[in-house]
Amino acid sequence: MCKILDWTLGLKRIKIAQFLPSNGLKSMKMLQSLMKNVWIPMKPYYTKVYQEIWVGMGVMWYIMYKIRSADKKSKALKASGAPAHGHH
Amino acid sequence: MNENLFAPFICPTIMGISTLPIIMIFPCLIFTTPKRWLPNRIQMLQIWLIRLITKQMMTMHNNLGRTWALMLMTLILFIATTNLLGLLPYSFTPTTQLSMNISMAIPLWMATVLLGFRNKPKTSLAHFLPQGTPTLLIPMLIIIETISLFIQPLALAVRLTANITAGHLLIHLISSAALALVSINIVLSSVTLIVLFLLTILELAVAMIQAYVFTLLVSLYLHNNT
Repeated sequence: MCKILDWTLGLKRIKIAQFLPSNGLKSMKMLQSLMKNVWIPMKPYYTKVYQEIWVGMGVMWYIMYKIRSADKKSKALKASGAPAHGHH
Repeated sequence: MNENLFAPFICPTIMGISTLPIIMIFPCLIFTTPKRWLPNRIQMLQIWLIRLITKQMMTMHNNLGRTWALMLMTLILFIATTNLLGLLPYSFTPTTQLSMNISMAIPLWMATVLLGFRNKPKTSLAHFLPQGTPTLLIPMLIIIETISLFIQPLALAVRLTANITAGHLLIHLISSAALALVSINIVLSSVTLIVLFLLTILELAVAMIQAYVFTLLVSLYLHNNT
């Protein structure tokens, strides 16, 4: 798997390297190293084992979004001088 | 004085950019991956420690629970190193921030609950009602068990935050007192310094214990749901 990845990325590297500066080649190497050392060993965990953790993270991001938007709204209301809660 | 007391708990910034991601990634530099068949002494010590903790934690789990070994070991190592590094003078401890601890607690707790409902829905629902409950108490007990379930992530986060923050505050206060007493009464200052020394030893233990408690509780929730 790693050899196929190396070969495919190697071919692509030759094509892309003609147009990219040396920084592009270094970032390709970095990406290749990341894929080989991180993604390939961890793929079963990220795709199968941690499915529920991704859902939990999504819920947590939603909670954070709600808290941030409520904070922005209350700051905007305070800045405009209106009362934060309507009078009944 | 009041401003200085809470200064250690404010996230440091460089030119307006928060340095929290760098501080959180920093413990990774301590745990190096051995490249050779026979690593050096520090790596051997780390490997031995990680294996000891893994055996301790993972013995009670079944095969499904043991797939979380990597996550739980990362969790305990991250919290322990962050807490221990935070005991260094003038350093910032990310685990004093409730936001960070809640961000760790909620996904992990929710994952264990979802895992339970996905693999063993009947057993997961059965946890809401303890065995042998009198019939009249059933509705109230279900409400109580539901509330206790939803409080679990908050308790996890607040426990860690409160313990670490309280320890750091105490160290700050006692060291300030010791410094102030040096010019007033040297004997009292020495006694305060001894108290500070003992407190630092306590904080070292608390740092490691809190990491263990956090991970153990997540492991327990996982065990209940697998």
